[in-house]
Amino acid sequence: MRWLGKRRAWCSKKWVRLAFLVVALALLLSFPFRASRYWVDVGFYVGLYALLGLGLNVILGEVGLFNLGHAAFWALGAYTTAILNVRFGIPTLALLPVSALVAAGCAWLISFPIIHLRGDYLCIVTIALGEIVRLVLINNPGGLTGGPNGVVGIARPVIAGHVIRTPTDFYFLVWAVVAICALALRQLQRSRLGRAWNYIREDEIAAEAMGVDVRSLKLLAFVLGAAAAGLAGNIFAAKMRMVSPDSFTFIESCLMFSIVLLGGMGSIPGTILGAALVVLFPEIFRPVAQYRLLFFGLALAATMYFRPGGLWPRRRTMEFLMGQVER
Amino acid sequence: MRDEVLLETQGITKRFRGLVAVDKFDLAVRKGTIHSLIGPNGAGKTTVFNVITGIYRPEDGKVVFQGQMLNGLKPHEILARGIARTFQNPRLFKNMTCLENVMAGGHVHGRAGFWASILRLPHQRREERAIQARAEEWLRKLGLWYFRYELARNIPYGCQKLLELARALAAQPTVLLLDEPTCGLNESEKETMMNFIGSLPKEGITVLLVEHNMNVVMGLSDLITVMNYGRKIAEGTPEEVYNNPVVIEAYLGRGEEHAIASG
Repeated sequence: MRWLGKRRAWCSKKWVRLAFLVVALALLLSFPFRASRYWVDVGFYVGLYALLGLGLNVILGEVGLFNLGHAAFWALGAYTTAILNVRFGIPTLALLPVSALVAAGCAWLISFPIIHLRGDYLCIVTIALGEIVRLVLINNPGGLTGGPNGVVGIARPVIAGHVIRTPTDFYFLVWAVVAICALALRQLQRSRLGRAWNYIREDEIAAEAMGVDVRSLKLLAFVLGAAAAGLAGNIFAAKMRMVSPDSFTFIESCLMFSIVLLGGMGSIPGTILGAALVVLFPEIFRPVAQYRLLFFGLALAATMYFRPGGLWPRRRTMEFLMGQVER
Repeated sequence: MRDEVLLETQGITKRFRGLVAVDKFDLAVRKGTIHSLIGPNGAGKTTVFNVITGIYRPEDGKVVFQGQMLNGLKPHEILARGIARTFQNPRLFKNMTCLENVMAGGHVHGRAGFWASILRLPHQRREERAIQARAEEWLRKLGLWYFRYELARNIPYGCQKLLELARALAAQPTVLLLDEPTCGLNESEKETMMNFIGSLPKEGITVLLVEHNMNVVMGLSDLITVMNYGRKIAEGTPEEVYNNPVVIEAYLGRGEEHAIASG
């Protein structure tokens, strides 16, 4: 236990953590004013994928449910915004909570009959669900989704008379939503619900024998994860001003999956780091564009080999030592 | 008071395809006692536990607790009624701290929901503090205080067994089912475990114990039920069971002439 004492010395100090947070926040806030439009856009996508990652993290990271169809919920959020805005003229920003609710509701309906499946079985069903949603969108049911062309002409979001238009505007919009979601998730992690999620991930039978209502909590995780993806869908639709089925392919679900694995299951900073890596990777490896998927695969394999818990895992012992838990 | 039957199985039968693991098994656990369930390997002891705690559904028979049927309830509902258990091989939440493991026992007594947790409302904070305080109390009682912030997978095996016991006790059960609590422990750990189990009835906890170690069983039990091939073959006080020829046969085989004839 001596090592615990040692680490506590520098890392548990409140001011170190505070300083770290302040620096991170300052960097995030000042970034758009120092970077080019292009890099601000990249920053936006990091935020967008961080939001998607945080949502999937609830399902995959906290509860350990293999969901390889998360793009479906993202698509549902995006199409909800697109259709309701273009057809009925509802303001895009007002559709932000609506998209989350629709995605969450659909997640509840979809996952209700499959929630008892374990491990790879659930994984395969979610892959199928992702594909079903995408194919339905392509097939243009009732002329609503516009088929392969998607829906175009989504209005820009307006906040108190300010039209969200530039990359910088969108950067702040997405990161504000990420911040709110991360805070909410942090509170949940510190509650009996968050712990119960982790009990399920660690040992489902023991969790149930200890009085955890496994089914309801798994459903809650799916609903919350989908809600976050719905928010991301709304922001994505607003940014692109159009949605099409091409954006929500299986590979997107895989990317979200690798964000959570790369960062560390159940770790909020890890997920954000994972999102940054997954978005930045193609940018950095642009000179060797042909091989970048190869490098990506290698990097993923290396991470899993050398750091199976992810790059920035949650350190539970530290959390207690730092007194983050109520005493 | 002591004679009141708290937990009862009435003719429970559990089959796994052709194999009858538990066959019309009756068991009556009286309040405030330590009741042991013994039998050779594969006799169906753990299956009885799994049926009582709702992990398995019996094909036939009833489980009655405090006059209420438990059949068809899910494991978490059964725990909420006051039956907690441990497992033969500790099933801990390995990547969580020992404190968090024991706090699992408090989950069922918590009421804070989604919004209360996200907004950290005052009653949610109070509840969290209470859950943690109770968990810390059990860690102290079982001598695990030193490991409280350590991940469960990093602590010694003997402590893992104690931790699982602490987790079950933190759920404030009326009946505690212990599946081989001393299996794999060294002599001094066994001693600690035995003393602790022996003290439970005084705390108002009735114990149903599955155990292979005869010293433990004979030393602790008020009543022993012997199982073989899924059936009850004997029941009685430790002395009665110890001297019962049917029990000796189940454990050691038939007499000499048979051993010679077949071998």
